Amino acid sequence: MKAREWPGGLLLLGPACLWLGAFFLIPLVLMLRLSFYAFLPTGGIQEALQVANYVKVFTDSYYLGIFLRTIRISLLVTLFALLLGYPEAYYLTGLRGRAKALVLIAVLSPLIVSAVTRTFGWFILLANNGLVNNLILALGLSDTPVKLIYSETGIVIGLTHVLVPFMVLSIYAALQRRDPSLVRAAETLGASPVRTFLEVTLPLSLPGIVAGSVLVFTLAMSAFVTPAILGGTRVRVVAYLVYEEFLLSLNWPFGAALALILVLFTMTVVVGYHRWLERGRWGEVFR
Amino acid sequence: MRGLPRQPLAIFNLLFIAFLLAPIVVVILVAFTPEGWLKIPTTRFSLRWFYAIAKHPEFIAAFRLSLLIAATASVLATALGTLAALGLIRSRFAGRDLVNSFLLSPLMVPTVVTGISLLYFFSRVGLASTLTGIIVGHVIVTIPYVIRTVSASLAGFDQSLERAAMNLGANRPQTFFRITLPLIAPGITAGAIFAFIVSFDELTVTLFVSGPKLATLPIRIYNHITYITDPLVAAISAAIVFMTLGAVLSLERLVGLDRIMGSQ
Repeated sequence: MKAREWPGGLLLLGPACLWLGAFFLIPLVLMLRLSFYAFLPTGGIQEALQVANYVKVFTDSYYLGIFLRTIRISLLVTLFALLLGYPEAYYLTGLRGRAKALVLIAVLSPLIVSAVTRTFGWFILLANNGLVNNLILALGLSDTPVKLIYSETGIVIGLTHVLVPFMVLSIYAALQRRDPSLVRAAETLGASPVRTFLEVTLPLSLPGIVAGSVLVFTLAMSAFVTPAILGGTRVRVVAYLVYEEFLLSLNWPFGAALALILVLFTMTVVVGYHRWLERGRWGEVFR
Repeated sequence: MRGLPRQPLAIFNLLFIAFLLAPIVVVILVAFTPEGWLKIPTTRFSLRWFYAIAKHPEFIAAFRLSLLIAATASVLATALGTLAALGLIRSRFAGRDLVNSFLLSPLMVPTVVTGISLLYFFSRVGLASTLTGIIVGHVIVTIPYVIRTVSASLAGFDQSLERAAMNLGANRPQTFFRITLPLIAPGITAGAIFAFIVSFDELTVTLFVSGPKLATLPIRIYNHITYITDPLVAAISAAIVFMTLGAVLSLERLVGLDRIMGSQ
């Protein structure tokens, strides 16, 4: 029954839209303009539009290097999140009731626990005399402690830890949507469990894999807290660079340009993904 | 449906959960160390670092500030977000999907970007380094969580109950306050708890808008561990973990975590 069209519905949206319009949308637009201003050596901002900030990012190998490092880290995080997240999501679909609720809480725990707390935990674990390095030395995998904190390795571990829940949830949702009769049909026709998985379940879960990967990649690209604590000034990522420009160098126009390039890059990935969804060769799978 | 063999998957599941819980468990263990450095206690446990928190009034003050901010921001975000969720589900108009994406967009924009644009905006309107500014920022970041949570609880809502009330002579406000509100109350409470947790833990946006004088608990801890690492921070973190655990268990009771997290 759709008869109950309530005109008050639109009014209810008003307060939230006004709040976000005034304090979120307008600041974003102002920042877009700020990124075209010039920074004066005296510390001021010259309100004349120019593109020097953008040119600087794309011509200076220092900034390009940090962008490449951030992309490299994010790709590795996405890969590891997929390798760990897929089997976990598959396992979750077979659970019911209390066991499922408990495993789900454990899977979501990195998101629930304070960012500073969990990163501090990795800091303790990955230190030169930490548990992980003690294990590596005891197993004879290396003679000297492996450099895990203040390195890309540490950032990849820390980010995989906090982002893998998104991968598990995406793939889990896709696996839940698959039609169980297709799996049963494959089994009835004599396919082995492995073959059923590879030829029926895996293709059907592809939308979840792709959605999860896009989500994890974009979140890794813009992550700040984890790389700031586990890498800091020794291993800078783009988000940390923006922080430095804004709060330490006080070159706000350049910081704004860096941030906008980051946003445009991640948005391109997301939009590209949606385009690919609509007319990609997986058309029938995603329908 | 037989599926793949469960036993290897069950072993993987245990290892995976160990990986997820490892850093949290380590922080809690180190909090009980009797030593002066980050040592996982093996034979003796001590509460000395929990007592040490009392000797650091700056952390207590930061904790109070974070509570104040999280309480104010979550009340505001819950009010705005609940109204918006009701508005979204009750109305059908051309730009509805667009409005929905706009209201959830603070989740899509990197928090660093939200932080710097707020800092620039606040510095122009005189809100930089103020309590009001921090709260405004936290409401932006938490509104999407409230909308998602309340929408999830509205999705299972039986509208025929409202129609029955109105057929029996109740007017719109009566129907809302005596039928709708009590039914979606768990969803609203869950949204408020969610907003509180997110606000209490918010670091990035706060780092940009708070200025040098106002330090919330996450900022205190962040500044502390960037130049000194001692078990004090572990004790503080352990205390927060226990508090968050309580909040999350009540969330699971109220609506179920999979419904909130999975409904994107």
